[in-house]
Amino acid sequence: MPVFEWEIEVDSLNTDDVVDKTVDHFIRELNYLPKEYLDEIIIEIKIIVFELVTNIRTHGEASRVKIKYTITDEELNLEFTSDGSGFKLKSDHDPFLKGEVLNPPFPEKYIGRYFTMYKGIEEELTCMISSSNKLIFLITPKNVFQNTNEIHEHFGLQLIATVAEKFEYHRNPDNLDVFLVQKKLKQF
Amino acid sequence: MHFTTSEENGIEILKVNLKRATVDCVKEFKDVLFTLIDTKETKKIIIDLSDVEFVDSSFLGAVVSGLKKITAIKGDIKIYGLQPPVRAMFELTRLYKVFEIFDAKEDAISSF
Repeated sequence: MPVFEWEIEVDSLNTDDVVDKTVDHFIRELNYLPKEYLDEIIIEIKIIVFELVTNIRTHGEASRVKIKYTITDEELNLEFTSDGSGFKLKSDHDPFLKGEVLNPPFPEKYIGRYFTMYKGIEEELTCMISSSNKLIFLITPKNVFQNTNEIHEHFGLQLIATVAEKFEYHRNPDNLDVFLVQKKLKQF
Repeated sequence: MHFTTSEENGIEILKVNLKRATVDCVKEFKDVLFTLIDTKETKKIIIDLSDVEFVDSSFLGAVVSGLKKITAIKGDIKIYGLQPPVRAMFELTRLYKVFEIFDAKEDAISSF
């Protein structure tokens, strides 16, 4: 199982470099896939990496980030671990959460609860607090078609959740922020 | 210059001269776009993305902010020249339902 890992200081984090290095890695490791499908996967990987790196650079207050990619025959796992201050769960879209900011450890009373993080044009980004230190991001269809006039900060997270089969965040026992994104590979 | 503007048939063409239009250029892009709308009171804008190979959520957010602004003065923004990865972003976000998108500049111009 090929594993690719590297650690970067956030101050010297260049998103383009990270994306280029990532793309090179996946093209090298997945070159057995049909070209059309590989092109599709690479676009989705670029989206994931751009949005995660931007998130870490702008919201996470982190100084270091460790990036780890693992590839199996069935799936790709992209893991970003940073020494940030914990995911700040907030949403103007959720009436229950309006005005409140939740930081891990998440209160017991919220565990198992779903929050609307972002309302897209046809889909919503929903976040479920699955434990005191873990969030699961999900895309759910909206019942009513709405035009969106404004894009909010969680738009990037919505994009990741749209292209990935699994998108999770957890605060690990060493107090590091871990984002895990999983993409399933089509079997040919 | 990351962004250049030119006028054709009374329509402002805003060309993005970047391979990757992302969070790092958003402030500059918004300055150019909002100046067209607020200062020049332009009601017809075409964004030329033909050189762009990738856009992120921040850039798309800026384009949507521009649309919101120009719609308020009864104007419109149209887009042309999407390369496959950029087209994929517009499809994933369903923004192709919000913007009129064209393959050729001439078609975008004649659509106003």
